[in-house]
Amino acid sequence: MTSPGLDDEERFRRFYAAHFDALLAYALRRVSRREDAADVVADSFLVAWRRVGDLPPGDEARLWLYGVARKVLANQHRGGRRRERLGRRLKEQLSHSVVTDHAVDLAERLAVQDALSRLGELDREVLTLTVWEELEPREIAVILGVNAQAVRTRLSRARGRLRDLIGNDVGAVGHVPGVKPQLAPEEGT
Amino acid sequence: MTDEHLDRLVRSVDPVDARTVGDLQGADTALLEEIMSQSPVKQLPNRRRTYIVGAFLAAAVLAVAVTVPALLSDPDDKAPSVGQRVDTGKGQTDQIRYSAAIIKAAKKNPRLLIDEPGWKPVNVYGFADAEGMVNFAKGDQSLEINWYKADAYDSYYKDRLDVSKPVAITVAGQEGTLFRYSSTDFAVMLKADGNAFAELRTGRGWKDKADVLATLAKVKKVDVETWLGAMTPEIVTPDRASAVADEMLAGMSLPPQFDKAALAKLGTNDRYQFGAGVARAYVCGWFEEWERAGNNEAAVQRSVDALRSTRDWKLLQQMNAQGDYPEGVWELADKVKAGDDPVRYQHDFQCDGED
Repeated sequence: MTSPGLDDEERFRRFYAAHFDALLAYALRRVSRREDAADVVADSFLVAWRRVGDLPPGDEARLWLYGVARKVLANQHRGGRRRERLGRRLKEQLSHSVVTDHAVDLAERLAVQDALSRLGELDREVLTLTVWEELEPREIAVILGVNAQAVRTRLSRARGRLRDLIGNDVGAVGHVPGVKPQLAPEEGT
Repeated sequence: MTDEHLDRLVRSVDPVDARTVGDLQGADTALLEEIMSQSPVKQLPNRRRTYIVGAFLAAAVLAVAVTVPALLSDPDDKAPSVGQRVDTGKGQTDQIRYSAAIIKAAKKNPRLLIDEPGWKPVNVYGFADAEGMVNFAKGDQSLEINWYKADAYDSYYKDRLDVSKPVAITVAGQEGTLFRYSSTDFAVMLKADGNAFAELRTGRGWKDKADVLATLAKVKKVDVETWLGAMTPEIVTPDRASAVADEMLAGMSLPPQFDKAALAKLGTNDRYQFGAGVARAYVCGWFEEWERAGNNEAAVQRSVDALRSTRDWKLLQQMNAQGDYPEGVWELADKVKAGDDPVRYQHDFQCDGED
């Protein structure tokens, strides 16, 4: 084991400052309870700290960090160990922070959220990384550990399925303003 | 609905916007100090980034053809090497065409086929030795079979419970669960079989549930030889890799230490995936040459010229209609042209992945 040098500390501080907002946003988008995002952020940065001598440079760093966070989230979903000690203040802060009011188009949002939740995990991740994190297939490929063509294929499929689901699901939550209802035949079972 | 409209809808449900988080009152700084108080730093080994090992190695999952049944019965035994002739037990010998590693990997995949004329694999690639994908098509219909590591089963199953109620089903003699995405879109998760579990998912062209169930009833698990036999000539299997690589690399200036034989390790892929593997090997080979060149300007220039020449590479021009891999290579070519050090982009091309 070695102690962190001053260079490592400074490097990590810069890394943390550069990527904190993006990582917190990534985590908030993928947890059901906002305070859980604090665990994801804390665990991901802890991994980064322990690999401070190995952090990728430049833009790669953010993609690498998303990849780490994705694994932390997977552990969280599987009921893995949650870190209680780190990030307590952040957790409290997040649980009290403002939640945006989308009441105006609530019904439409519910329909889209429901459709998104029905996508397969990988399809949903590719689509949300594209739209929410505004990443290119090449960048998403790094996070997911697949090649860019696989991402492109997934993205196309995810959009197709979401399109179908939004059409099919319209009306399921009542009238949806701004979304044209589509008729879908009953399932023939 | 256009992609743009659809993306706008997805953007509208982004849980995060500028107002969401607000002032964290120093909680972010406090976390930083907490993390940095976790010391000493534990320098982990500089692991290979196995998560980007590349779709190409994974395709080895599919790549299984050997003409020696005895070898298939126990791939962990001391296996003959590729090219070696072995006794088939009938006074004859046959040649091993695939490595024991490929056979072993293949044993981990579900090897499912649709036993109905007309179905053929159109897209083939994998992600790791226990993960992969084959997309089968027949006319306008398509059915995709993915397989994943068995230890991921519970998490996938939990995810699918959000899709619909689970319905028990048997496919290819294996117990599984049917999920309904829509009246024409279904998925079946089969229980783990060894190291992997398979998920079958409908694509386009299905009339209704009965249509889907009728085809699912024809899905069968087959042995490795049958499975490989179902790969059409368009799919690049390891025994075809060398000839196809020669064709794809024709006219290109190869890096001095280019290991063409290693391309057989890409496993079984459709031409696009195999082409991407070939292009990656080419680019990574010239990266290595660049590094090796040091201050030798002439050697550096050879690497630069070779990377720039990818703009005219017939392989990439053919692949460009199908996907974005060529654009990544050409982006690199342009950056090199602009004077960038290409080695900065090694990570993008997964040159540090496993071989």
